[in-house]
Amino acid sequence: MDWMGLKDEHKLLRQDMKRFAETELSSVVLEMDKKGEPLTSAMKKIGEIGGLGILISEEFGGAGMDFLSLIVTVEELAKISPSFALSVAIHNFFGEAILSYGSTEFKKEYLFSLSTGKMIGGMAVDTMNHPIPSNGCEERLVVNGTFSDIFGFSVKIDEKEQFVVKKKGEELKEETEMMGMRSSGISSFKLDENAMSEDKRFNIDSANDFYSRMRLLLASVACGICQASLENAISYSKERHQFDRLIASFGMVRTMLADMASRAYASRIVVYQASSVNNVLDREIASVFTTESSLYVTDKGVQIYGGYGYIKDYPLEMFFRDAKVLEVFAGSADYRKVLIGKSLTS
Amino acid sequence: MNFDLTDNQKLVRDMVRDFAEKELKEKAVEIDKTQEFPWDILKKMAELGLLGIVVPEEYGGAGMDFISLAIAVEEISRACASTGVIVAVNNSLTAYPIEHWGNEDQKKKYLPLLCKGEKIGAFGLTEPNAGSDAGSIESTARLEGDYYILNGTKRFITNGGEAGIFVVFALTNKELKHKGISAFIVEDGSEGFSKGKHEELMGIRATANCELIFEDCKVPKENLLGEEGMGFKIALGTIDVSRIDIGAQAVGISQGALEEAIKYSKERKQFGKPICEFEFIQGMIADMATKINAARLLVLRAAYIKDKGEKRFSLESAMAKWYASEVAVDVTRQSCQVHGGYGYTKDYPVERMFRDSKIMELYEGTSEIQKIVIARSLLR
Repeated sequence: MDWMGLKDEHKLLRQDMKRFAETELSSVVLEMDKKGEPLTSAMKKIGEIGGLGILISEEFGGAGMDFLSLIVTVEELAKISPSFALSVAIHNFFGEAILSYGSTEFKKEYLFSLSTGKMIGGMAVDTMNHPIPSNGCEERLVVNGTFSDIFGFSVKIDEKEQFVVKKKGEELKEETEMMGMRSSGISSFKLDENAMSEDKRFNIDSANDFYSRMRLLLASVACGICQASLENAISYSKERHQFDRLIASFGMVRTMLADMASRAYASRIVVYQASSVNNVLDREIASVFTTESSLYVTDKGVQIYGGYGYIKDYPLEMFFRDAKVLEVFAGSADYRKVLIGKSLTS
Repeated sequence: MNFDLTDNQKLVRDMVRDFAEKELKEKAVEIDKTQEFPWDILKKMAELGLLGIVVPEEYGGAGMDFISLAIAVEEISRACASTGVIVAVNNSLTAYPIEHWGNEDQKKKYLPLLCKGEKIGAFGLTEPNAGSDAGSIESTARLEGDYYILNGTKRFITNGGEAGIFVVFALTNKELKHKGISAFIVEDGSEGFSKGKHEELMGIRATANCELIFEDCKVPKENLLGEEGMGFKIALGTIDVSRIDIGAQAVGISQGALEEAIKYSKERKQFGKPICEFEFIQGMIADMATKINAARLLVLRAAYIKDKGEKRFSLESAMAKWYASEVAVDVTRQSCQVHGGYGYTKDYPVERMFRDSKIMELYEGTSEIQKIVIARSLLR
């Protein structure tokens, strides 16, 4: 299928990332997920091939590519390691936030190191705050928290959305034990007076725009999970025999594969579409659809694997847990639906 | 039509709920992390008669009905799904077939051990290449003098790593395919019997799920359960019963997840009011509660039919197991959603409940197998 909007540069980038994921991630990903440890050496290596400064302009040492390039990168990495893809997505998005909102001086100080991966950025995904980001929440979950050098979060001060950047101290050392995304170095911190000292603050023009872009990145992780779960389930169904037949020959398995494929295909289409237009509602709709789809698709993938889908020897078990978080990070899917409904009727 | 529980059934419910609240709720968090088999809990349960609920009193059991068994499994699973399935396997997958198809000597020898929790039971049917298609097992047993010699590998065996008494299925006649399967009672420590790989599972992590390896394993010939060639019939008849309890386990997990969601939604405030006052949260709670109620009724009705002594209840137990397990996955997911991001961290029990629930659609026959059983009963 010719994916809409993909140019040659995106296709080349996809090939590079596919190669990177297969050589650097596939052999270690399940083990690191079990241990709950981040893939820090792979993080360094992806920095060497330009994967950590995708959105940063060349004047600051980045690749100066478009948002779709980041989407494609994240999607491709997520096929092997959703956790690593999330780390890369958040690091890049953090860099972009500095690029968009930071002072010139601040940009000069940090963007070069961030583009090459000399410095790793983390960001609060605000999942602890149930309905809505940045409003009256006391605890934050920071992606890349345990291994980043610098991190950001947003808060509302005097009715203005502010992006706060902090050099990491002791506060994020402890990893938070999570169901999935266990190699993303996620840790939490309490947002109190202490947390706000010695920091840099920048105004965010539009919080909705900002978060909808972050959610679209989570959605591209979901796209990768969908795609990989589908591919895994197809190959398993063509290997596994029961009742003297390949399970791929059973009607119920075929309908599950069809359901998975429709959602996986549709997810990519809505995400690519939403990344190519400047429209918050499109991004919100795309990310709710895609993140819910990824749980559906991984659930059916586990189902096709049977008992083998429930053990940690195969990737489906991890994909299923990883997919679940995407429905909750950066505002739960259910609450975002309420907001989508509101904006459709206002 | 009467939906009331009997006084005895109510007693069982209250007693087990009380026990689960006090002894299991916190333990569940710990054993999920450590994967430790809850021996101390099982010993206490044995004292309450929960390890041989439907076993007649003369063999050390509690002599109660299948509705009581379902109620007990639900209440245990409400606090800890791992313990729920350990108890279900001991009761309906091990004690039940020995009680139903065993001879007097076998019953006298093995049932008291299972009821007292001196030994825990396990069911060795599934193999690496025989999951949904249980009739295609490859393990063999040949009679040599006073012993059957067993060879083969079993996989995904709940309780496997810690059990002392196994009901194991193997072919005594390969030509007859599934009609050549026989069932055996195998004791841990038998010559040629060893435990293989311990599985790392997504959920129900304290269940000692393990591979069983038989290499010229010597089983005394008097440990044949029923007759040669009866194995597949025993397996299906047993699973018809255990599916009711797996359904009950699913209802228990769901009920636990609903209660957590209700509690959290009353405590958690956003925009100056508890989140339970938001309509979309109320919608989720109503959805969860209604599905759980329907699932519980299906489970109890299947148990009721078994208690009435009806021979055929495959349809009812498959419906109960299938629907209740789908509900468990849906409800635990929704409970996580009500919790927001907290539901994804190990600080709240719904995180574990969500992982635990997914096994429900896979073991004791996948959802797809249940649907085939249901459809075939209707199309017959």
